[in-house]
Amino acid sequence: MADVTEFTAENVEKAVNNFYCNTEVHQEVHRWLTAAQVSPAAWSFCWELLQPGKGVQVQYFGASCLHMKISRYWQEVPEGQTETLRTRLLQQIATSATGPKLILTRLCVALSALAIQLLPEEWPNCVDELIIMFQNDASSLSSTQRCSVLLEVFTVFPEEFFSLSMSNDKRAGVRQELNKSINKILALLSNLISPNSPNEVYEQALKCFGSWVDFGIPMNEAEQIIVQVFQSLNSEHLFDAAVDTLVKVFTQPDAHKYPLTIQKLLPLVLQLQGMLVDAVDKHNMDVCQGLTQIVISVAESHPRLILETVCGDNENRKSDAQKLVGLVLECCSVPGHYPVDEQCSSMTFTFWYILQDTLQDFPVEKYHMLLPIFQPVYLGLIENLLVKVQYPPEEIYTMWTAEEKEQFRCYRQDIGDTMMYAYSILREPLLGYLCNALSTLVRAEKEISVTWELVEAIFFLFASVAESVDIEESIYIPTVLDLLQKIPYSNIKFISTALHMLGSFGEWMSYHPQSLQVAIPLLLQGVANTEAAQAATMALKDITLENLDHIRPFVPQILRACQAALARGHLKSRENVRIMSCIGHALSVMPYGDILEMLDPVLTPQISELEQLTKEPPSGVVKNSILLKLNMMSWLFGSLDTDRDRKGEKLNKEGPKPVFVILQKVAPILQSIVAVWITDTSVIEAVCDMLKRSLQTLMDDFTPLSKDVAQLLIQMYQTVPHIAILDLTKQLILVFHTDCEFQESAKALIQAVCAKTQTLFQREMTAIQSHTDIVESFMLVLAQVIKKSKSAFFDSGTDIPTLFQAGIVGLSLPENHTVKASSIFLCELISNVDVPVVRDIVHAHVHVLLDRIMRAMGGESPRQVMEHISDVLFILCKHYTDLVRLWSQDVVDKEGYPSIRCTRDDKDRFMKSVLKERVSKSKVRQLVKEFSLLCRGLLGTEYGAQMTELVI
Amino acid sequence: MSSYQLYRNTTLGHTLQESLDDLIQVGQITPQLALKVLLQFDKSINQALASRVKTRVSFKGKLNTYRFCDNVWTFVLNTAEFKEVQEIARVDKVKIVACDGKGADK
Repeated sequence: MADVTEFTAENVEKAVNNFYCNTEVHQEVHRWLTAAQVSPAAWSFCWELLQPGKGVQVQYFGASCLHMKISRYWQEVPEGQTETLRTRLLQQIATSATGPKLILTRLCVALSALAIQLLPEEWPNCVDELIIMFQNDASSLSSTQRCSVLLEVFTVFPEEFFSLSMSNDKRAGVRQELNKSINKILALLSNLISPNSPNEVYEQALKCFGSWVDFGIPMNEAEQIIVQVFQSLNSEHLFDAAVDTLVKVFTQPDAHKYPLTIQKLLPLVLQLQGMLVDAVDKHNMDVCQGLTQIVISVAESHPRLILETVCGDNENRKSDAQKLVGLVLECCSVPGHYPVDEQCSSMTFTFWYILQDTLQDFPVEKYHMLLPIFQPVYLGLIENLLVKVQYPPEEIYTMWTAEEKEQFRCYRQDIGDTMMYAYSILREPLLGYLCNALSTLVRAEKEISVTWELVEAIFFLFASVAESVDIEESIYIPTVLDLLQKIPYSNIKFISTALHMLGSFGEWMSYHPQSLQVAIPLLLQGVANTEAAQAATMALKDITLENLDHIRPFVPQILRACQAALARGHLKSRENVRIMSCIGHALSVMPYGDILEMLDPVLTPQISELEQLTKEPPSGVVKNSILLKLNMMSWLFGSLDTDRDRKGEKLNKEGPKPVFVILQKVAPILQSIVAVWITDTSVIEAVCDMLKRSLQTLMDDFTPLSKDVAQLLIQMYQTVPHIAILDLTKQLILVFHTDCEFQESAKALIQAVCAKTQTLFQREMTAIQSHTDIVESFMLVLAQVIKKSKSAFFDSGTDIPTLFQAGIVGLSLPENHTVKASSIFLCELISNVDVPVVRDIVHAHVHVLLDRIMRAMGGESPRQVMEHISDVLFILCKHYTDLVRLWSQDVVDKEGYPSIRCTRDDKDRFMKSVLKERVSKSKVRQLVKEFSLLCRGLLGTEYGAQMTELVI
Repeated sequence: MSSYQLYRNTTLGHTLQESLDDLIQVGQITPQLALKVLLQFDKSINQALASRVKTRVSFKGKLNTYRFCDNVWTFVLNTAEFKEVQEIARVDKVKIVACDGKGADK
């Protein structure tokens, strides 16, 4: 139907009905209707569609058309016709005022758009005229209806002002005109925001005021109306509209310019306390939330004013400001559990952060004056948070949905963060408070039953501030650790939090090593427990790592517990891996001989299990077990770093390092694993990861294994290329490139890796496109090898011309990192002008490289990669100037190349400028950037200029 | 209303800009429209990251450099440790660029 049918009211009406009834032709009808809306015919058919007899959807389409035409196709209105249009629209509004609300709203939006189009010259006093027009209207509408329409028009006025696109001059002119009318609007609203108004007018007037606040009303001029808005909070019907309006008032960006007005209004905010108490009593959470929103909007937007007022001399205002902070605390203390019973407390958290942040920004003398005033507030806050952070009783918590539990978890995290901010104000007294609360509970435990939820909450809060606590602190934390042993542990959440808290004090413990005597046995008990193992292994890992200097006396017991846990087999995969990490940390402080002796009972069963697994027929279960064992070894190798600096201790470093000894033992098993699982990328990745970690720990001590590993890498890569293999290849060559004995292995490795990767490039382009990660890693390996071991690269017998071509293909790929890696490789390669083979290739193929660079700039590659492309061009011009100059003539002469948007002159200028620049890489980058923008039709556009520079 | 533009420098931002560039080149949209889309992206991603992200990461490290310029904090940390609930990631050097999330809509 679409292309042939005329845009008449009748056809449009049919199409609209069709659109809503027939989903099959939805897309097609939508296109047709859009075309109809854009067509000039819309100016006439829209009125017909608006006839009262038409369906609501048809009328709505008519009203939308009218708005769209006025806002976006204003230039189509013939000169002298604006008056007719305005009169007709006003008549239509009068007609539609008694019809459906959504049609009326659309028409009011259209009228606002019309008024803005006519401002400032053609309809300068539109606000005045509209008020008079609607007040004296002789139509059949009632005064309430007329009032509602007028308010609707004025409500959408500021919204239209912000959404219509117009020039800056026009916008400034319209704003100026509207500013002149603000007093009239305020006078009108002041009359209508009154209990004498009908409810709907009252509510509409509140919304209208909010809309003008967004436009920007000087707060002092609106003081009276704001008072009226506060009064309307008492009406249940108007409450929500009043809350929204007040929030807008206090959060509008210019509000800070009216401190006196805010101070004057503060008593009204404080009066909300009575309402809040009442709402809490009646469990009316909607009202609580609304009131909290208002209180927070004042407090959060004006923290500086609050603090300045408290510093000031006016006692009443001082007291008001303090009361406001107290009111925020009350909002934070609304009873019940978040998020099920209440959602007010979380709204206050940002304020506590902002308040302490602003306070710390104050000059020192004021800060010290204010601190004693606000410390009790923060103390009150933590008292309250101690209640809020508690889990609800188990029977209630189990009834919560997963979403509610997740919200509660996040809420507890927020409380943890708020505690950290409170700590910056309260410091040690905060610890004192928590410590006292804990001691009281432990004492009371003997007489009354204390719920675990409360003690858990204290531990959680301790953990939240652990990282901020002064490492010198020696009063409260030792007390907590002491009390920790006297508490009966009954619930797994409780145990986990206690263990988590211990872990969070890891760093502090390294300055108070005696505390390890308490911590380690508790953690080891946790390791033995299936449910507690997750928290226990995490904490043990943190503590062993942080306390390497003091861990030695505990090594036997740690090892015994870990060994038992591994043997029992109750741990999950990640826990097994963490246990190995703990073992590694603990043993790394022992003499070599002891390490192997102590490790043997732990490791032998693991190694024999791994060996056994290699003999079993491959299956998902076997694979997962192999991956777990390999991972465990990896983490052991990573943590068993015997080279770490240890203060004043002379180590017995006789014999090979333990990791080496173990690796030797495991090597044949690795060979068997690779033989069976060579095509499985996750197993190959795990093998490479393990070797990489051991290489990082052993460094030079890895030498005896280097050749075998190189051989293994060749074997693996030839079967399935993988980035983990390339990564290890790079590491191995970087560490051993100076070792003469490794030279031959290095060459063989490079040769094999290059030969295999080149087969990828010889296949169709999709093969490369689906393996860009390999291309990236491969290019980086090559670049590194050329940089560190030029001879190994050029003497390895690899096919350099093919690699050069591969680099060019790499440049054409869309991924930023791949292009970057390829350009790094090409720059490294072509910089070696003294190597004959390099010189020959560049001479023979420079046109191919140049063509790639030109096409990339012309638009074939994303703009983000232009810097990398530019770097290749820079190096090329620097080392092969004459060659590039020769070929550049071809570039200039070829019409429409690399883009139809650049002329011969543009290209000529660009090539000359680039060839001239030999020193500054950044200048060439700039030239390339501009030329590329030109080729893409973006030069000089705001969009083109907004492109972000890459920081990666 | 303006939002921070730093998220343009993400995979999502880059991909969007590439698509917009392509559309401009084939004449399907104008650079003005592309700019509007980009500004909407800034707004939406700022909003989404502020309100929909629940994951938390804590980190510590040795502060090498810091600066606060044009309302943008920049920190360079050495030997930084990033900790998610389960795991730790270590890096030798990391640069953190941070803006006030609440300032985005002012």
